[in-house]
This record gives sequence, structure tokens and C-alpha cells, in this order.
Amino acid sequence: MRIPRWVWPALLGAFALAVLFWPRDDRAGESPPAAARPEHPVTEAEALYEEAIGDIESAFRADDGPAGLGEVREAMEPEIEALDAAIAESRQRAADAPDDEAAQETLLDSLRRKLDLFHNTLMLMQDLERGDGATAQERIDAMSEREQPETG
Amino acid sequence: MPTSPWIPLRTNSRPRSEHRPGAAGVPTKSRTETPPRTPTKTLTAAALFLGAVPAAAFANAVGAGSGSEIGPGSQNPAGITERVEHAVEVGSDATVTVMNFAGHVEVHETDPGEARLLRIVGVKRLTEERPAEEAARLFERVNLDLTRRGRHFHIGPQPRRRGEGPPGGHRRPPGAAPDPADELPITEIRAPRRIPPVSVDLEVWLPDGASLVVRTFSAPISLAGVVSPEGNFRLRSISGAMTVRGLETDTFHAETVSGPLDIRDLTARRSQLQTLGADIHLDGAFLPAGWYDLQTHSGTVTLDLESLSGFTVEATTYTGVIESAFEIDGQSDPRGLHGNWGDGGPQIAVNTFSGAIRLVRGGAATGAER
Repeated sequence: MRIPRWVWPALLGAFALAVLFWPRDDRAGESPPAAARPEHPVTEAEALYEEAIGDIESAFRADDGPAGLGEVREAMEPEIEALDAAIAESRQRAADAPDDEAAQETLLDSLRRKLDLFHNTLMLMQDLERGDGATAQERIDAMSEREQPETG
Repeated sequence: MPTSPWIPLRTNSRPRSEHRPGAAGVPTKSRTETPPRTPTKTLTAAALFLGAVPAAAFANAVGAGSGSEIGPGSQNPAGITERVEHAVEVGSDATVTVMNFAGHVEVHETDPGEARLLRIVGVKRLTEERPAEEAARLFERVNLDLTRRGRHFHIGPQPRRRGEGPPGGHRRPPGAAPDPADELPITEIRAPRRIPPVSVDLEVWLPDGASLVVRTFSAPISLAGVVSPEGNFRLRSISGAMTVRGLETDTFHAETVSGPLDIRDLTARRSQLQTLGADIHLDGAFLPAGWYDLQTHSGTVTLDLESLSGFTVEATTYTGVIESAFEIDGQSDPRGLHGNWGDGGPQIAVNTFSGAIRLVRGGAATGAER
């Protein structure tokens, strides 16, 4: 299946916005390191996100996915690296401040954004494979809106 | 440190009504377990003095009781509690935000004759073994002051500035404007907020017409019998389960990572439900012009559509299965079901990666499995 030309700038635009407007925690270093609590709900959630991201990454590598998926995955590589770097940064801050609610939530937000990008891309490819351009466009619009910077 | 735009609300102390419906459900320490208490009025006055709150800030507070009580408790850390109450009249367009880490959040409709009254009862409990004298210090760190900014009322740690947007992957209905509920009140508080070993059982009586935002870490959220036809309800938890038994509102949004969503008897024009790995159940009155979006990675989505004479569905999954008790007129394959049933009507979108999707009539998917 040939991927429509308009998909690329839209997808890359959405990814770029995701990286550009990544939520930054400007309070790094304020909280002293402390031992993580294994029972903390964030710890459990982080593991679930990692597992889910692993699931979807496997789907991207699988042969039976929508046509063109591997191509999309390659095009996404720089953005994925940037997202991974941001996740690593969030994870370090969360580990340094296990009782800081904002640091923990920033980590989960980071993981969720990566999962959402993979998930939406997968669904987008399915839309295109089905020939449903309208739904695909709607999905891209939603992804772009999602990444708009906050105001106020 | 930047100052908060949120204004602490003071309410006049008065004896709490002992016969208030619903209050009986609040899990509080029994009288016999309660040692001599510090007078409520004294504690409240001290807290207000320390907060250096201008008297003008109290102008909006009315009637009812407010204050806290601390009981040293016994050897059992769960026996050390602090109870806080607030009651304040609010406008019909008020938005109430609740933040809680652990414990639970229960939301009810108001009592008859109290349609404009926002009433909150919170009980703090230690979750770890700590000396009794430390309990008071820990409880102090869990701020249950009721604060106000404009039409927004808040209890619990202040909401954060970033990261509160709608979950990704959700699509707005065609042509819909951005959801005002997506724009949470903004606070300038930047100091790190520690999560102390304290759980809070919060019970909220929500005034008619109010909107509600609840965020928790592990605390389950339950909501029953609330009517707010123009309201926006936004519930978010990491691992807490969410239970709704009767809610009428304009928009409803519920999101968890691992807490199941059990939403029954919901009437909403727009509804978005999302989990990462937990199951989702939804039933209620799906409005003809309504829009319903459910998404999970690996949980099972069950939609009871028995009450409908028609709907438009767009269900997609990657490795999950799709079961439908309805013969859909449209396109279907192992990864998707797209089309109409009956006379169309509400638009339903369901998205999973590996989770099953079940469209059922009255609790059972009796149709063909795809």
C-alpha cells in the first residue's frame, strides 16, 4: 500500500510538537534522593506503561502489521529517540524525588505520550490500510491538537 | 515562593448536624475511640492566623461548619485520625476540584434543601506506623483547606500546571469546540509536594449544576446519584477504581492506568473513558447526538447498548477480539467494526490494542464473534 503523501508532514508535525512541548520539570535538584517505595502506585503504573509500549513496539516490528508500518517506524526514529531521552530524564527526576507528586506524574505523562504516539500511529496505519482517509485525517488532527502548548 | 491565587475559605464554626443524610457513611472514628479533642474552633482559628489570610477573603463563606479534630488514637496507626469539614454555598456554575493521593473519594448529590451547598467531610488516617505526636505534623502536610479562585473550589493539594490535558488518542466529535473542562485551574505553587504516609477518606456532597474534577493516585473514586445536566466531570486516577452509579451531566471523562472503570446509568452528551490495562464497563442513556469514546490498551471494554434503538460504531483493535450482539451495517474485519445499527444515533468509538471489545445487550454479547 502506498502511503498518501499528505500523511508524512502531518505525522512529523505531530511528533515534533510532542517533543517541542514536552512538559519540563524545572524543579530538578530541589528534592533529595530517597529510596523508592515499591508499593507506590506510580511504580506499578510505570511497569504497565513499559509493558504496553513493548507490546506496541513488537507490533511495529512484526510482519503481519499494516503495510508501510516499518517505513513509518523508520521515519519516526529521531522523534522516538528524543522521546526516550525525555523519558529517561523524567525517570531520573522521579527516582530522585519518589514522594514528589509532580515528578511522578511527569514520568507517567512522558510514558503515556510515547504510548499514545505508537498507538495512534498504529491505528492510523490501519485506517489507511482500510482506505478510510477521513478517519485518518481526524486522528492526525486530534494528535496535533493534543500537542498544542498550554496557555495562561 | 510565588503566592497562590487560591483563596482559603473560612466558614463559621458551628456544631455539625448529627442527622445529616449521607454523613453516616463517612468512616470516622467512633466516639468511644476518640480521646479528648482539641476544640475545633481553636484549631481553625490557629490555622487561619498562621496562614495570614485577609479578612476580605472570607466574604464568600457562609454558614455551616468547618474545622478539624485530631484524635491521638491507639497503638493502631489506623486509629489516629483527623476530621475536617467544610460547607459553603456556591454558584450553579461552580467547578469543584478534589485531589487525593490515597484513601477514597465519594461524591453524592446534595441533601434536600441544600441545592447550593458544597459540603465536604475528610478524614485523614496514617498509613504507616508513626508515633502519635508525629501524626499531627504529618496531618498538617495534607492540606484539606477549601480554597477558591473565581468559580473554582478546590480541596487537597493544589492542581499542577502541566500534564492535565486530555489523554492522547481521543478524538473530539466533528466540529466540537475544545472542552472547557480540559483547562484546569492554574496554580502558581511550585514548591515540591511530598506524598506523606496519610490517606484521606473524602466525602463530597456536590451542589446542583456544579462541575467536578477529581484526581487521585491510588484512591478509588465513587460517584452516585449526581445530576448536573450542564456539568463537566473529569475523573483521573493512577490505580484507583472508579465507580459511577447514576450521573447526569454534559461531559464525562474518566481515566486510569490500572483502576477499572465501572460506569453505570450514565447520561452524558459526551463521554471519554480511558485505561491502560483495566477493564471498562459503560451503560446508561446514550443520547442521540451523543459521542462516546472508550480506549484501553489491554483491558476489556464492555458496552451495554440495550437501551438504544440505533448507534454508529467505530471499533478498532490490533490483537483483541470484537464481539457484538448487534448486526452492524457496515465494514468489519478482525481488527475493526465500522458502521451503523438501527437508526444510527450516538457515535461510539472504541479503541484497544489487545483488549477485547464487547457490544452487549443487557450484559451479554450474544452475537457473532469477530
